[in-house]
Amino acid sequence: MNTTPLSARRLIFSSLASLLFAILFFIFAVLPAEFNIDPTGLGKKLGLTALAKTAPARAHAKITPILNKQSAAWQDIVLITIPAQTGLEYKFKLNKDENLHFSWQTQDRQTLYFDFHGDPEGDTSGYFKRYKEQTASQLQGDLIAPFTGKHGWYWKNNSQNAITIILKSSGNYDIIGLL
Amino acid sequence: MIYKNLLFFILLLSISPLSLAHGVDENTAQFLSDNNQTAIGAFIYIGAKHMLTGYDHLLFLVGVIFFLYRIRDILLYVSFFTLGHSITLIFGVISHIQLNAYLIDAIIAFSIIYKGFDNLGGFKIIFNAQPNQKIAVLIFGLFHGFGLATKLQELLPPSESLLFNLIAFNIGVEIGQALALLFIVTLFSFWRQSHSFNHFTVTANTLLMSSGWVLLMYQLTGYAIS
Repeated sequence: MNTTPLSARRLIFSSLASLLFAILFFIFAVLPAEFNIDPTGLGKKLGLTALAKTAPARAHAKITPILNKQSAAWQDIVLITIPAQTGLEYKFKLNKDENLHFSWQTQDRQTLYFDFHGDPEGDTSGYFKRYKEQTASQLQGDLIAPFTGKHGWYWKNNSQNAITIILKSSGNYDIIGLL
Repeated sequence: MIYKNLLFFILLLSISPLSLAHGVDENTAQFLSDNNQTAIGAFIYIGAKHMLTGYDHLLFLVGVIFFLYRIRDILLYVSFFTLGHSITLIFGVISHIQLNAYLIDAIIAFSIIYKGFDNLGGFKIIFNAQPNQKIAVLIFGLFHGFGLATKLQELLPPSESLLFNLIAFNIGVEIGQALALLFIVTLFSFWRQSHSFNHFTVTANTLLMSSGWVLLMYQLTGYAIS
């Protein structure tokens, strides 16, 4: 196998040049475009930060907890906004045999795909138990947790507009929230 | 002629956008998590697609074959790489080893820097020693395989047909690699015929190292943010 014969000086120059070029490219282009971090301000001028903003990032999903003092019917009410063409998960931590009483519906009655499922605690194999999978605009019911772990919904908004879901819940759980 | 060859190289570097690196798009992810049965054809396709759009694997392969002129050598080195990543892909998924995707991808990025430095003769010049190149390709192959295993496990629910799906995915990876190599080796055999190849080996390997650095920083930033 051949390699290029090179002087030590040229090798060190090339290695440093590769690193310097990478650092500059990273700071000026990759950070603004991929992470919306723009230390030089150039990313914004070149329109690169817009890329990071339109990326289907979870940062765009919005949840607004609503305190519900008037009615004792629900422990928690939350508004979850799912951006267009984006999927997200909202989960509750439940111990085995604990109950989750829930009701959710989309604000404007749009239908969307959902997958209601649970992941056992401490499981790393990727296993999950599916409770219901459907395309609908609402779902009500009670879940008695078959095992300790994270239980909740994956929603997929395939439409061109953001969809807001109102999720009401009661039970002996901890809110994990967006995943 | 020089510009034309340089253009080839740039084309090679820009095969796919950055956001696709090691990614599986959402529709594929949806299929993977819905899939509970054997789906040999689908998994072969996903494996091949993953390899062809995973330019960190491809850049490493460019580095490996850069100074390999004979088909026999190319096959030998690629076999070491295939052996390495197949071992850890299968072993990793079966024994549920799931490493941090950002960190494993950072090591894969490092393998590109290593190979570029090696191609520049860096180890001979600085340390007056040449680490065994076949063993290096094998070891980095093991890390690339852990990367594949980690990514596949994020999406694959365990089932009775897991092993078949896993092997299908692995076969797909090799098909994707063979297709990519066919493309890369063809370009290189054209490029080597011109004088510009000798003029640009230093620049090309410096660029290779540079790409490795960018990917390394990208993955470490992702790790820091997550």
